[in-house]
Amino acid sequence: MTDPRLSRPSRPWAARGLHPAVHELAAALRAGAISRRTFIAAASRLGVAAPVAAAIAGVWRRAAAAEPAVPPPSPAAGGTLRCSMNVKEVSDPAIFDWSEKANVVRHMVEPLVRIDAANIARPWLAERWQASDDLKTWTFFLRRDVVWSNGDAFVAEDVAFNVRRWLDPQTGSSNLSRFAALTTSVATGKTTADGKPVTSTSLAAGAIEIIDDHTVRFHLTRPDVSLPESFADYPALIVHRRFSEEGGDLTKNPVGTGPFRLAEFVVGEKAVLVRRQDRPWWGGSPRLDRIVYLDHGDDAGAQLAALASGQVDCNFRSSIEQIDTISRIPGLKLYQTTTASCGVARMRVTEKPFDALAVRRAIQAAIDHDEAQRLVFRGYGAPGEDHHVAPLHPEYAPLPKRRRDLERARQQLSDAGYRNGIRLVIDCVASPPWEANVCKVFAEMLKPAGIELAINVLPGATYWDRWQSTPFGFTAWAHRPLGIQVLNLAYRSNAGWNETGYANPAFDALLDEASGIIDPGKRRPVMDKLQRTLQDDAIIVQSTWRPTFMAAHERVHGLVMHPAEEHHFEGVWLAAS
Amino acid sequence: MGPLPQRLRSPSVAIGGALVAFWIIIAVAAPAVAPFPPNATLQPFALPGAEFAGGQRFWLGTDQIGRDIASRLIWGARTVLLWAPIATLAAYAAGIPLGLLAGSRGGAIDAAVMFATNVLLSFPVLVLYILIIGTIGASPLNLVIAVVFAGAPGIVRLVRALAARERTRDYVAAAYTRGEGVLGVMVLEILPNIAPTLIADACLRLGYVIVTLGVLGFLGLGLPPPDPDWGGMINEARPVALAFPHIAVAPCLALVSLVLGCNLLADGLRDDRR
Repeated sequence: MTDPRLSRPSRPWAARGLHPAVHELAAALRAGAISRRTFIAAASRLGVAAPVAAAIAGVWRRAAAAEPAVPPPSPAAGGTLRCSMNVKEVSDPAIFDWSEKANVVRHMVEPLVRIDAANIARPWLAERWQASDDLKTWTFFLRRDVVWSNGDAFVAEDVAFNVRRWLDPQTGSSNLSRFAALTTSVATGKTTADGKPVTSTSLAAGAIEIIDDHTVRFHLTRPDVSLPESFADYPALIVHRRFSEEGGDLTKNPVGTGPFRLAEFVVGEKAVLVRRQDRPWWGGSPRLDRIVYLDHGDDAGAQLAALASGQVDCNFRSSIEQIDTISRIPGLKLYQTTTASCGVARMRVTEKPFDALAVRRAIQAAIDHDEAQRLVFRGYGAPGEDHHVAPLHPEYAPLPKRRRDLERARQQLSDAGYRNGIRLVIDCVASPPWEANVCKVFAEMLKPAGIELAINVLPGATYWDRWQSTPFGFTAWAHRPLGIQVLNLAYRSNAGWNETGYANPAFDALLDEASGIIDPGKRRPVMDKLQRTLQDDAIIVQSTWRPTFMAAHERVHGLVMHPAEEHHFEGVWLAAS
Repeated sequence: MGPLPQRLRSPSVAIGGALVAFWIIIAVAAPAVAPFPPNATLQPFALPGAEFAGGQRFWLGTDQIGRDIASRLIWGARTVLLWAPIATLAAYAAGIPLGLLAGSRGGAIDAAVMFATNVLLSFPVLVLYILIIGTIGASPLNLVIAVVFAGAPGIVRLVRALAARERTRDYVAAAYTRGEGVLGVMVLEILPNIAPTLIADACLRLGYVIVTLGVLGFLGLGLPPPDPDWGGMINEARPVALAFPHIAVAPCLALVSLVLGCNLLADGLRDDRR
């Protein structure tokens, strides 16, 4: 069975017309909530060709008349791109836990699959892949023109070595849960303090089969539709098959398949990558000579100051609070994208008073998602829908819009026995500020429904100690390319990151069904049921689908903002000054 | 030092008193004078003077989630003018008896009290606040406890020094000769004589406590959101201050004016016109 992710044009929804989010964007454009430029950019990311997007926006003629074609600036030969970003320890990709780490070395070691800026999994070191009908056998066909910087050919053994290493518990890689379908758990004979048996999870016997030098097959213990996306995640960058023997440290032994080589590296200071000179990179020839990452600490203000003063050409991330400042600095350009990352005010269904469905529904009914988006994210991003599947997920099923209903909220609260209102406390982290801001806005929205919400702002470490046990907490969730991934992680009964205590066998069965459908279009009807179930069971109040921002000087070209903030600088070039 | 009524007529007292009185009136009349509820989210990043639906104006603009800054300042004045005096008085309530005891008795009691205060004073104040609030959590009562811990040792030392000076005066010896007890001498004889200095010190210290509450709010250790407190408002404004300085400037000016008022009042009260 060929994965629709590989079809060209590989927009899964192309055959069925426009992506559903395009209709919402068009509605937002009509309502004046977004600009035409934003509409065209966002629609293009969703697979709509620019002329079509412009036609939808009704501006094709006017735009042509109003904006005379500007000839593109001539590119500088080579050049150095300097980026302000935290420079963290990067010796071993398998144990990466920050996207900043992967951004440094992704230009040197590459993944089998890459998620592009439109959130679609694209072939990278693997030129294509194929899944069996039961989604339990996946075959990856590797590119034949890839050569390591030490002269070795890139072969199936490289991939097998990496997967074996990720799934060795000794490595300590988060890939162990990402590739759980390739593992088995065995009892160790030991028990925990409370008498539960201790199991050890590792690579299942016979899970990896090397067919030939450029073909590797994976035999899964259960269907997993998201295997290609897992291979695209940042701890899944492929290192050389002798990585461990040769010291296991990329900074000391920078062998890679990518277009750049790590030349200089100091944690907390800088990382310098220079274009590979030994032979042409398989993907073509990047324009830049060097990429330099400079660490200006955690203060977003310091990073912006470095950008404004010309010390760097771009930054890793700008906050919503900075976008006005950026727009006032001449020569700077703001990049923005909407992601599938968000925050959820999640209620633990095993704790009072959230064990009462009516209380949870009262809270949901009192929230105005559009208003929260306007207030906290100034209209950027997309409103949450309380089911944690994003409009940019390929399998997203559009449901009727959530509307605030205070009458219903008060009725639900009264049904739950809280006729005179209720006082609740929500835990949230102090930084980044948008999380507490969402809670403050929610608190105001809940007030007229008779719900007094106190906000307990905690240091990050304290919150993450209790994020799975607190009765009411606000948790930020990262971007994931598929909707099914986050449902499996957070809402399946007893899942590792199930923070709500939600356990619904009917939901799990639907999740199994959806996880076994490779075509997002065919998965959508099942997603519709899953999304409705989560809304009806009211276990989360979801904030806005977050917009992310970065800024760069106008001389930087070819920069594309990625929903997971990945840097793909091989296509970037600088204009000649 | 001149007599208290004379000192009350100094220009410092007039200006300081007017500033403090202004904020007290604002705080008391908050429900009547605040144009909007302090936590209502209306329109983000409105500039000072911007008009809102219904002809109302955001006189000082709004913050990043659309709350009216003027209304938050007005309601925030209540917070600061309630808890800063309570915390200051509590610190005095703890510091005066210990200082009087140590100063008027001397000996082993004095040595023990001084040792304890020296230990507490050897901690940097900010570290002490962070330790206390970090351990017991942020709430109005806990802020009072923190201020008492950090502020009382200084008061003990001041009262002890003043009491020790008075102890050798003739009127104290006379009181003892009359047969008054230690408690009577401390409370009825020594305390009234050191009161003017303590009142001036209290005004100054009130200013410090207001700044402290602001600093704690700025560090995220102040009163829990969403109710306004000035330090917290400055902290929240920090990320946007470059583009929208009005959000940070307004609570800073409010804090400065109130602290200045307290300091001028203290200056005037201890004005030496000999």
